[in-house]
Amino acid sequence: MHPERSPNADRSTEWLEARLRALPQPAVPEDLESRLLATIPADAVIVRRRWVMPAVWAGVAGPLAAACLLAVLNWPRRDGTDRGTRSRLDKSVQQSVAIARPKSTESANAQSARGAMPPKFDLGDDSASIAAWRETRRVLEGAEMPAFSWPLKAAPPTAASTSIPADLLE
Amino acid sequence: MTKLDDPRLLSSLRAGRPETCAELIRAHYRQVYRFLVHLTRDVHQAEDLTQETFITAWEKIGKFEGRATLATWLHRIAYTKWIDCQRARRRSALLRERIASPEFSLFDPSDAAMADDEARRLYRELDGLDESARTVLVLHYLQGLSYREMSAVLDEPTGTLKWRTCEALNRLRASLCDEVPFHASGTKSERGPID
Repeated sequence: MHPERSPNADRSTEWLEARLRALPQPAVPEDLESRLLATIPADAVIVRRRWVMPAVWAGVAGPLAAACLLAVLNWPRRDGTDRGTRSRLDKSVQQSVAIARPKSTESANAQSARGAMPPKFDLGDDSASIAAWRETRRVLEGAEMPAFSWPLKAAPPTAASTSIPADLLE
Repeated sequence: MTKLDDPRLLSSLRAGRPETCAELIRAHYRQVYRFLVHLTRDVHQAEDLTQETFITAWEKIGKFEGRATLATWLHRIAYTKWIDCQRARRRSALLRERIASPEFSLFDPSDAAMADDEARRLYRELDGLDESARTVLVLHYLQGLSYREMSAVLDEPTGTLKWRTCEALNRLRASLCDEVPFHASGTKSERGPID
């Protein structure tokens, strides 16, 4: 038997697309739905898988982050860093006062400077330390600056060169 | 099941309501099963893979971001299941053993439900295509997925899929034009019937 010419030969791509879309679909087994419904996990399983782990993470990470924040906030007052900083500040202020006043008037002004220096405040009180710093600045600005004296004696200028004899150029 | 229903269904699924899971099954299992029948051409394997698809869906519903529709997402899971199954079978001789056994039930397009000769012929030629061509034609024309949805399922660019679909369609058309009419070549496929 010779193969016959297909009647589809003159059919277009659009026809084929339409036929493919209209193809009857395979039958679905009747019991498949019930079998699939049996695969549904219990309510708690889905909820646990979805929410329990984030909740555990939140429960651990939240307090940890809060503890870290508190530690950072309280760190300067607990380890003495703040105290040391203030001590260094006071020492540098006193050195500045000593340098700023001439030696001749140092003893005379020392008393007044000391008198102007505010008393030691509670280091934990920021407003008191700021007030002390301002007082120190005020004392320093009010103090007279010593007259500057050049440490070397002025010498007559030395001749760096002499005149060139005229015959030397010839 | 429409795409508009997906957000509502998804939020309810994430709330962990079993009745919503049942709704998802009823809305999509036929489409998933048919897709797998076309891929596997084995109704038993398609049933197994459909079950595995939904089990995986329950496991991963928390990671579903909702960028694609639930139907596309389920197609993606089903396609991945089929690929995994193929890889496993290639590593073993299970396929040959199963084909030799009388329990192996291929999807037979000459089933009585398909009385249309043209439909049977189309199915036969579709089965004659290679796996890649058949997959894109099934997804686009039989499952009704857009190229964008196909791209999400097959993880390939849309342009490539358009070209592959066009190429597969031309090959199918050529094979239909070249073949002898169905009534001249026999009335029944030589493959086993559907159980």
